[in-house]
Amino acid sequence: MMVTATAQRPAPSTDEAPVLECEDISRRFRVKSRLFHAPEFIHAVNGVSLSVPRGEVLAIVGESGCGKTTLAKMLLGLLKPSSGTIRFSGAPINEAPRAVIARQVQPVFQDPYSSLNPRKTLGQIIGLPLLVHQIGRPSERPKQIAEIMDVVGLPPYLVHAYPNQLSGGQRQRVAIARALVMKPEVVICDEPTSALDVSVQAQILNLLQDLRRDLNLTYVFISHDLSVVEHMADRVAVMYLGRLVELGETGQIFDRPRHPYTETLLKSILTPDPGQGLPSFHVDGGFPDPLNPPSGCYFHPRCPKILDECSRSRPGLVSDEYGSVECHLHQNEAIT
Amino acid sequence: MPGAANPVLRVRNLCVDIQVPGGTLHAVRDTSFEVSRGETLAIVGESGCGKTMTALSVMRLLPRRAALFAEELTLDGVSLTELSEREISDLRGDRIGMIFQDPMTSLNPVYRIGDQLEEIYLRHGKGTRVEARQRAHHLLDRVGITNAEARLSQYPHELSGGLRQRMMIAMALMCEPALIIADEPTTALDVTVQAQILGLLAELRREFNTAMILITHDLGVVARAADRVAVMYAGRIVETGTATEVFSAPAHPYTRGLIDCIPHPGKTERGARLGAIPGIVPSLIGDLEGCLFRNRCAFAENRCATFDNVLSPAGQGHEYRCLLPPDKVGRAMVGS
Repeated sequence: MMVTATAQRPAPSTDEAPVLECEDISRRFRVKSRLFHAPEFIHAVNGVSLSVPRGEVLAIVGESGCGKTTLAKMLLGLLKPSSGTIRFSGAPINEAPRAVIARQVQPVFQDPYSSLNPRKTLGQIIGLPLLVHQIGRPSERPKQIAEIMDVVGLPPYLVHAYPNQLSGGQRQRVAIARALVMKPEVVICDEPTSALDVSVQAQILNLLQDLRRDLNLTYVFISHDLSVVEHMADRVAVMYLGRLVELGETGQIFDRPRHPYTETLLKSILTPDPGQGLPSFHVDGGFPDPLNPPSGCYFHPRCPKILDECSRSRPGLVSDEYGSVECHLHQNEAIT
Repeated sequence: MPGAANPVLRVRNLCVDIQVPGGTLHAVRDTSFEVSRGETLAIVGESGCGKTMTALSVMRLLPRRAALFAEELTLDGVSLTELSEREISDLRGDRIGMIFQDPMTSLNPVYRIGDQLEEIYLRHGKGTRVEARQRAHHLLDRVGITNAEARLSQYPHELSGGLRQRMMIAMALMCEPALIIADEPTTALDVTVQAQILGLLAELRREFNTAMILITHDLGVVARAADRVAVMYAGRIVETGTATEVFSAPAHPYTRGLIDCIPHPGKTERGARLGAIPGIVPSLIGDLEGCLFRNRCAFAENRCATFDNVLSPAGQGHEYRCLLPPDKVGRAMVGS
């Protein structure tokens, strides 16, 4: 049953402008300001460049505090970048009004229990974006809502139900319906299944795959579950302390990771293989203090393959046909 | 048979009923298991299947509305059901250590870490304040917290999530308990920290020869960290056996379904549909008859509605509750 439904992913077309592009975007937050002292900043996202072709699933992975969610908020237009440019289909959105951004990119958040208004019916929740954006005539809205509920697999009689009458999986379907009713090009999925049980997670992941194929959607898929990422993504971006440290095709990243941090992440996946025991790997200490990031490469205090220059200078981002990596071990590969 | 040799904890036919507005909710039904010294038993299942209620029953921390019945519930031969509130409170933290999911909410934010660790030691009359301090210091070193002396005078909010969970582990070990109950100990943590914490738990369990009940919904954690597994569904243990047996040759359709639900890098095909268990967990209110998985089961037959839920043997120490022969559901795609 599982084997027959093989992956039929549309090859991302390369001849048009990427649907989503960000160029050297950064976002800093002021965390402490005292009288007569210079304010202190956290660089939540620090010089990230990405481009996502139409129809692709780009996963962003990293530990908590690495800037995944800040990046997602900037892509959604909920936060303005401190510097850098974000473009949708070639047009910069830095100055664009929120309403314009919202028509192109929609979110699905982690927790379907807190992201749905408990006092509105499903019809009201799913129809609200149409109302706000004045899409279609009011008389057509019930039909539009019914259509999108059908697409995400919600039975029609639930249109008058309230979120507390639904299971977690159904709630996440509502969140997906609300995102898709705008017919966006890009959906930002921020940990879409981590609040769900595994059997429901599988249902939602299957739904996201089907929708992507049928509607030619582009996903930015944020997750800390690397098994899920491996299953869903075409390309993977690994973030550490606000920086993009490695980017590549999913197969490349999982089979031949280049950044030691990516290797560490991959080793920590616990696949259900009894008898293999727990992975033992060398990562000292925890996540560094983002207020005082380490010198040079941010990962060097925890890195098992540390070189002399790692603490002195920050490596440059090296790009080749396999992707890009920011590590002193791979600095020489760029010239070829 | 593992677990047969002088178990620390014996549970026989445990039932927990909770009075709710709609009637009686049968949260745990006829659950029996044993844990020996130095052994980890994982209880796995989806939310609402009764795993946390089972753990709370052992600690006698059930909500007031819940009623507990058990033919046997003994810790080192002492019947836990017959103890007074005062006596069971003496056992908690002393003979039974507890580690909860969210270390932030289970630590008191207004007391220093050192005071919270010492309090357990002093509360159970294990020694003087100076000895308590020494023990706390020693255990913080043991769980891999560097600079223990300084940490003891910090408050919980000054520590990262991983450090707080190490703190909880140190706290659980203060009085060298015979049994540790860890309820989703790594769910709130990053993947890299998760592997470290599980490794630490395994090491300490060996060193102190403690029995451990590990409650989790993460099959990867179960496969890597547990000796034996009990799969719970709708308040009942539907399959139990060694981790190797249960994962490589699941006998219950629910176990098989759970294993097929999770993407497994290198084993499941990227982008292919995941095997999902249709439907949701049934309500446990009122009279429950037959196999409660039958509405979601691919192998369901008419006689499932009257199945008396007996445990049948499926191998050495491997039992399951299903009418099907043990090899009927087939080998799982993963884990073999």
